Parts: sequence; C-alpha cells; structure tokens
Amino acid sequence: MRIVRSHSVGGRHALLAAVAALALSLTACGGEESEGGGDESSPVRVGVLLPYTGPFGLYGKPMEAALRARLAADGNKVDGRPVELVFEDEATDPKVAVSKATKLLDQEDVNAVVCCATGGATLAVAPILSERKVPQLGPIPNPAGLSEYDTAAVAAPTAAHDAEVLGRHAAGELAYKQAAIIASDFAYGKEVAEGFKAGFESGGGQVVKQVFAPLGTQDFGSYLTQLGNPDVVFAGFAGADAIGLVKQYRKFGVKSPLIGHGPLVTELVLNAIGPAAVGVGAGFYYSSQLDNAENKKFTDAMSENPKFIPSHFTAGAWATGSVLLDAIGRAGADTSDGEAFAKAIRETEIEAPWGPLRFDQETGYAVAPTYYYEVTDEGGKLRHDIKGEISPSS
Amino acid sequence: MSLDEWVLQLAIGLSFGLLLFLLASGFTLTFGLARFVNLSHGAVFLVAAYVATEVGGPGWRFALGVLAAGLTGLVLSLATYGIARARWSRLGSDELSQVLLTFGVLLVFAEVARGSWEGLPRSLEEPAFLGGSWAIGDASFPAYRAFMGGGALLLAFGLYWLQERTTFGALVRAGVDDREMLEGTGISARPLFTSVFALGGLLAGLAAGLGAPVLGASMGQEFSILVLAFVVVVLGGPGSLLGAFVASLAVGVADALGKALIPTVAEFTMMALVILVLAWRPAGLFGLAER
Repeated sequence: MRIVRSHSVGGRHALLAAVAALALSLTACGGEESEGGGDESSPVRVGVLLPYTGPFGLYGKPMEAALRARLAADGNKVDGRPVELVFEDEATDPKVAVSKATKLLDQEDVNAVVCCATGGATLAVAPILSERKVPQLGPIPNPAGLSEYDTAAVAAPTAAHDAEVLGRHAAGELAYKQAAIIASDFAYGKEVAEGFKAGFESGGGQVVKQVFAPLGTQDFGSYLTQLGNPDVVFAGFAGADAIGLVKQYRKFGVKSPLIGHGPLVTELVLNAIGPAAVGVGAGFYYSSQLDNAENKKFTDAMSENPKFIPSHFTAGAWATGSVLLDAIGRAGADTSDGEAFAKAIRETEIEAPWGPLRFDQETGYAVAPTYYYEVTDEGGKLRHDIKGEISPSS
Repeated sequence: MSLDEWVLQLAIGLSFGLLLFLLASGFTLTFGLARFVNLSHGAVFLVAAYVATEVGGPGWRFALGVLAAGLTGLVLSLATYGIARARWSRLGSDELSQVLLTFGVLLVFAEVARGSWEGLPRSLEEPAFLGGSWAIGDASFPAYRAFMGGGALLLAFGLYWLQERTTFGALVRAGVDDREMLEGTGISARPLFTSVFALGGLLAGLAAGLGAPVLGASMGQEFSILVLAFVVVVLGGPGSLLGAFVASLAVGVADALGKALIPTVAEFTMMALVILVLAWRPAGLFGLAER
C-alpha cells in the first residue's frame, strides 16, 4: 500500500471541488440566459411530451427523431433565432404527463408544449397549459375536447372527422347500403365508430350492427361471428388489435369487404398483418405513399435510419415542426406572450406531408384532406394504393 | 344463437382453452410441486412469442419457429430458476419474496422484448395448408385453430403420460402430495424442481409458438397471459394437471360464450366463473386442501 501524503490528496480534492463548483455555476448562468425569450433574438424553447415508455412507448423515439429532423432541416433556427426542444416522457400515463408538463413550465420555462400522442394525456394536460396561457400543439389526431381551450391546437383532424368522411364515401361513391361496425371498446374505437355511423347514415346508408371488443383482445372469433354479412364492415382498431382483427377477419367466414380508419392498416402494422391486409380499404389524412413534395422531403430526410417506417405518427411530428417554425417566424417577440403565440400557431398555413395544413379557427383542429386507399401487394410488398382524395362534400 | 353458432363458439372456446392449458400447466406444476409462485411465466410467453415471429416463416420454417419458441421458454424458465436458486433459503418458503423476485424478472424479460423488437406488435403466418376454414353450417371455423387445439391436446396427452406412466411423473406427483415425505425417502428435490421448471418453460414456449398465428406477439401479453394462467391454476387447484385441464377448457368456453352472448360484460364472465367455483370449493376444483 502506498502512502500518499494527505495534504496533496486533500489538495487534489479541493481543486476538483473548485472546478466542479465553477462548472456548475457557469451552466446555471448559461441556463438563465437562455430562458424563453422576451425579445426577438433570444431562443424559443418548446417542450415536447411524448410516450417513451408504456403501451404507446414505441412511438416516442421515432416522433422525436422526426421533429428533430424537421427543425434540423432549417438549421434549428428561425430568422437567426435558435429554437430549442425539450423532450419529456409522458409514459402513456395522464398523471405522468401532468407532472412532466408542470416541470416543463416551471423548470424549463418553455414557450409552448407539443402534447401529446395519447388522448388521455392530451386532455389531462390541456387545462394546466390553458390556465398558464402556454400554447399547446397536438402532433397527431386527438379526441375532440381541446376545442374549449383557445390556446390549444392540433396539427391533425380528429379521428371522428376522417371516420365520418369515410362513412359518407362508403354510402356515396362506394354505394354500400348496409354496414356493420366493429371497434375497440375504448375512447378511440367509440369515437371512430360514432363518426363512421354519422357519416354513413347521412349518406343514406344504414348501420345494422355494432360490436365492440375490449382493448387488447387477442381472439376476435366470438366478435367476428356476430357481424353477419352486410354490404361492408367498418373496423376501428389500432396497434396489436388491428393486426389480430384483420388477420382473423376472413377466417370466420365474414365475406363483406372491410374498410377502416387509417390506423387499421397503418404502415407500422401492415407487415405484421401480412397477406390478409390485401384489399382492405381505409380513409385517413395520411399515407406514406402520398405523392407530393413535402412527403418526399420527409421520407428522404428520415430514410437515413434503416429502421424507419413512415406513418402518421412521424409525419405528424414532422408537420408539427413545420407549424412551430412558421408560427415562431410570424410571432417574433410575441413568442413570450402565450395567447399571441397560440394565435400565431392557429393562423399557420403550411405544406404538410399530406397536403396543405391549416387550422379551423373555431376549434383549433387542423383541416386536412381525407384520402381513400386500399392495401395492395406489389411484388411481395404491401403498399397503400391511393384511390384519391375524398371530396368533403361527397 | 343457432345450433351452428353454438357449436362454433364451443369450438372456439375449446381451442383457446387447450392453448391455455399448455400455458398454465407449467405454472401449476411449479406452484404445486415447488410451492413456488413463478410470475415470470407471462414474460416467458411474451419473449417466446416474439422469437416465434422472428424465426418462423412460410412452409417448414413454421415448425422451426415453434421449436425455437419452446427452446426460448425452456431457457428463460431455467434462468428464472437459477436466479431464485441463488437465494433459495430465503425464497423457498416466503411467497411474497417469490412474487417480488419473479415479478421483477418478468419486467426485465419484458423490457428485453421491448428493446429487441422496438415494442412493435408482430405476427406469424400459419402454414398455407392450414390457412382455410371449415364450414359449420352457416358459420366458418378456421382450420388453424383446430390444428392449434389438436397440437395442444397432443402435448396434454404427452404430459398426462409423463405424469402417470413414468417414474419422473410419479416423483412429481409424490412431491406435490407431500414434499417432506419425498425427501424423507432420500430423493433430492432439487433436480426435480429443475426439471419441472424446464418443462413448464418448454410448454409455455410451445404454447406461444403454436398460438403465434392467432395471438401474435405484442407488449402487454406478459400481463394478460399471466392473469389467465393464474385464473386457471386457482380454479383447477395448484399442482393438479387434471384440474388445470378442466379449468382451462371451462375458462376458454366461458370466455367464448360470454363474448358471444353478453359482449358488454365479456371479461366479467371468466372472473364470475372463478368466484363461483372458489365459493363452492375454495381449494379449486381438484385442489388439495392446504396442510
């Protein structure tokens, strides 16, 4: 054992402590200086709440990557002003979302919050942000309910909207007379079921049966056998449930054509569904197959990561970035004034990967086209074959 | 419901119940023999299911996927046992510690699955020759479910033969009945436990593989499958394979009929069945009274 002279050890420790203290104080000073700014040259800080853990945890990292990529495409600046993103995990849990939102407001001093990818979290955080007059921007379709908050906006239509447009299309263009609905028995499934029914009936159709399966159902046999054989079946499922439903659909003797809301055959689950997906139709505001300049820019930027699969989650995050950059540019110094910033966000009109994006001034939800597409097999790969945009009045 | 529909629901329920039996058999054996509550069972199923979707493929690769899943189940189950073994003196009799430990193992296994497969749900396509449906009057029953049920039944018979006709089975039965007595006759319980853990894991893995075309692999299964296995074991009586068999079929059929007849309270019918049975026979249908 070497004997080290105690005073030199003490001296080393003291030096380390001094350096650490100096470093800490410097970063603390740095932090204060970069507070969300009151003037046009100070950085704009935006908090982003995404699910990195929990049942929707698979969406967090891809959405973060898409949002960062969009900002990086513009050099992370607007008119020379830096834009800083602060990411937090809402863990697919409204309680966690609320505590993280509070943290973003109190400790990170953000000018706006992007929230959330899960309906429960979005609605839980909304009153808090509204009370503190901090703008809220939802990146993907959220449940209706944000419209009562003037400072909230969503860069996507509601799920019910697309389902309703699809319903009218099914009764109109596709000329189906009778439909059965099978959907997930929770907020999302109920919302799209209601939307489809409203649209289908307004188009002159008749909904003859509605069946709801609990979230997380793995065996749809007992539910599928209740559908009978109407002209068309509308399905409202997402995630693993969508895979199970579509795969098991034909197996139980249901012969009717199957159509659904976008998430039923989203790119993220298409390969897991396999050949059973071929011929399934969907109505949605986004498909990775859309042929426009912004979508190409988006998919090109993201394709650097070989594991990347484009979907409305990442397209929505990308478009959210576009909205933020545009709104910050127009708001200027007003980014520190919550209500003015929120107004600037709602007045945004930009090109999103799905076409033009603008906000409904009354509700704050985005007005976006609804496309109808069917799944096809092109040389062994499953793709969306986009039939066209459903005209809003059809 | 017409007669055809009754038959169809029964068939659906039985095929699911048989799959449940494979799952629960491992759980009931470790619980009955080693008095060990192995909550990691659910995550063993989850990882095995993912492995089946990864390794499995069209044609003969399907069988490979199922076998790989079985092997995964075996390895993971032994890993859990190994971890528990490290502190067996404390764990052996303390059920709460077992719960904590194996639940922790479940969470770790589940995170490994999430990390390896990005948390995305996956599925496996059944072999083409089993892809059709059989007509039951107006209704259709998928051929693969019959195969799944048949495969599970075969394995169940194998398990029955093992338990009733082999020395190993006799030792397991004796150990479930009275472990102290078994050890008193000079037979060490440890290799027996190891084999039972391995067997339980193998069966759970095979269940995951066989069930992959129907159930797929997705995060959250580790909990839903665990609850089902637990229900079957409690209902059938811990340690009793016959009990687990009857209970699995009962749960499968009750579940299918519940969904068909009263869809709004479908999940409740299974639990209601459990409550009723336990009120009548607290140790389970074939359970042995606690000593």
